[in-house]
Amino acid sequence: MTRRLGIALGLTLALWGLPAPLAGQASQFGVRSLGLPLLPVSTATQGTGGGFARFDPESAINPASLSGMGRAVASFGLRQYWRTSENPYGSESGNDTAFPLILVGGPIGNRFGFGISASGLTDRTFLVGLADTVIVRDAELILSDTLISKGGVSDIRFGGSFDVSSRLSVGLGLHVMTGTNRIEYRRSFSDSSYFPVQLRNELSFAGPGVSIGLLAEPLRGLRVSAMYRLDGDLKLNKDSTRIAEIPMPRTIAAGLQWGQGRLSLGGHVLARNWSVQQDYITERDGTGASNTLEVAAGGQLLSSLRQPAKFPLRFGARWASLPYPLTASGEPGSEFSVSAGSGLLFGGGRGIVDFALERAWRSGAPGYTEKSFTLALGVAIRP
Amino acid sequence: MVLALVLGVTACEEELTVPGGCPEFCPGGQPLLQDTTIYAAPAADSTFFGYSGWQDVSSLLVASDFAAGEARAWYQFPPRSDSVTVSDTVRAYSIDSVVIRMGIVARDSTVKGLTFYVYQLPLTVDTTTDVPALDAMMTPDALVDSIVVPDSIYRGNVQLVLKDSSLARLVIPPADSGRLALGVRIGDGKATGARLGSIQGTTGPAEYTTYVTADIADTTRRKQQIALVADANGFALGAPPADDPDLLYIGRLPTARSVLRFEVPKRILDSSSVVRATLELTPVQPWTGLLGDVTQLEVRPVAADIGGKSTPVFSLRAVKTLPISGSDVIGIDVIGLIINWRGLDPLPQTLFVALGPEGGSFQQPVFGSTRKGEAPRLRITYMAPSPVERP
Repeated sequence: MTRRLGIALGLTLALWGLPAPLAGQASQFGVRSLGLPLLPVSTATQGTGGGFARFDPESAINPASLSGMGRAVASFGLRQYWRTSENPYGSESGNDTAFPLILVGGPIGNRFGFGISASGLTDRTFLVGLADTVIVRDAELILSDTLISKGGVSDIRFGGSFDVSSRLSVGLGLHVMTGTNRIEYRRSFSDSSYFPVQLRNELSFAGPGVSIGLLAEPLRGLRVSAMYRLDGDLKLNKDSTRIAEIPMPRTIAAGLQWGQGRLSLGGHVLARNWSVQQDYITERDGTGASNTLEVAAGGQLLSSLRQPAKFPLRFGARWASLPYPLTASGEPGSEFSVSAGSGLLFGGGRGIVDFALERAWRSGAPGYTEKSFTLALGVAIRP
Repeated sequence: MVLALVLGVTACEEELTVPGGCPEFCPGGQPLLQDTTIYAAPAADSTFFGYSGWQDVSSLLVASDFAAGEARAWYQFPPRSDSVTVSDTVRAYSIDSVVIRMGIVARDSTVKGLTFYVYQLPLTVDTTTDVPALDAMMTPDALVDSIVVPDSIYRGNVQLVLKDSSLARLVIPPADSGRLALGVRIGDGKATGARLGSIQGTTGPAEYTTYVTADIADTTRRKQQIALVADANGFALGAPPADDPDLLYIGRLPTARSVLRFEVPKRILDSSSVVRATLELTPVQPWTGLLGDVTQLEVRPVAADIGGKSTPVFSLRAVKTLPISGSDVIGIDVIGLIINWRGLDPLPQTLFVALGPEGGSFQQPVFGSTRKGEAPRLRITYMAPSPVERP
């Protein structure tokens, strides 16, 4: 088992070397503060709209769910993302690619589970074009600004689970928040007497966190879960100089899953008190932060009880409020998505490919909307 | 697995800019442009004279009733031989005609019937001869002839041809040993001026060609010419105001350049993004130039500040064409210069201000200094460090 875990770990480390960042999708709703919160779930769970997130050992949310990892596994996800953004200034379409989750884990002995994962916590990737007219030296001057931001806060979790009994598992996750945010600001002027400006900054994030989880099966076929996560302040460095410490929200979540025969249904509710950042943000002339609530529900219909990963039908929906309002009125945005997915086996059952298609709608203040398609591909290797 | 890796490596990425505006899409606020004025360091601005002299001027000024002042030009030619060598034999000659040719560097193209008057001057004329002295030499008796410049000629050569009876107006006294000095004035009551070619200029000085008939039996070789190019030249510009050590001068003769020193704070140079920097100089008196002529203000940084002998950085300069006349503040963008004032090895915050062409221009602006008049100043527009970097 240890050898298989080593192979899985090696595969995962190799995947970490891929050029694309762990960041998620570019969005106009990721402009403010730390950006757009991400849900670090596996492709299989994304197919259920995130409804199985609290119970999925390959999703980096509830450390207690690691108890469900029957054998060593290395998995990673790939998402191709197409979006159309609209706001009062115009609309534009684009696409990008991300690797949202990499995980390796497996059982240790009969009662312990172990997993290391790297995922996106928030994403601050966006390109925004701004135009403005100002009066300088008693004359009108048209400014053309382009703000480019790439990266965000990543989350590395070292998780472990312990099976208290056959119906109760508990888990502990130690988190390291890390990541970088590369920001480029370009400004050109309508008057060629003014020199264009190009500013580049790279910010790095660092912060600790801890999560505890619980997974129980009080009735046969019915499972419940709970999770609590506490993060320390996120330290923000610019060129090795500490420039800020941002308070991070606490996370509390609960889930319910029911399964009977080929059908299983599940859902979760998650709440975060992002408003702890309110003072920090408003002191810097930001638009503030609001607490968020997330609700997801989904299901899975198996085609084979003997091989659950072979062509299951997954479906689900998710709604979440967004923490950072775009406008000064403080109206928070929200996103709603529906998704479906399936999977197949390869390599004599040692490999699983899952795929999911998600359609999402985001909206904020009146006039600010975004629609996206996400094609997710997940690969899990079980050496 | 292979499929996933291929997808991962080759997946497309198209980052199209989302249109936006502030404040919605300006996290931390929009970087503001700030405009500030920094005056030259007190009592550290001054004018130095003597960078080039009369012998270095690129053109000679002539003017009459002109607002920029009266100006007269003169040329001296090397000795004309009293014989020519034909077929290896020195022979006497008789003069058939004389052609005097001058180059116009610039003139007011709106003036019709421009006329130059050419006088024969005593050889005593030199760079110390002022306008009244030259006028005293330019008597009707000394008048050689006039050149009426065709209205279609704005620059280039014009010439005066003397032959037959007019030759008598150009006689070199024996005591002058064949040397000739000519003076040029502009006239006919038109308030205007012109710049003429000089030894140091690209147009070249006046030429003086004597066409002769040599004393030789072979009629095919009788016609000879003696061509001479001026070997000294100069001009006098009437009544320049006395130099005030508290003001800043450029141009003139001997050439003046002004040195300005600044103390721009590092918070602007190093910690901000300077997007525009304009050097503003305030004239203390109006200046007048020649319509159609181009005179430029040149500003250069210096490699090391050792006062008037500081070495300018020749690869860097800011240039501004002066208005023909005026008294308004002159602004010249110098951001390309002052960006070299920052960094680990910055240039001194010193600027050299000069006029181009030096010494051969009617425009001779005089600027206020930190001691008198409105002081030189840098108007700097800069962008403070971007607040968008802070989530």
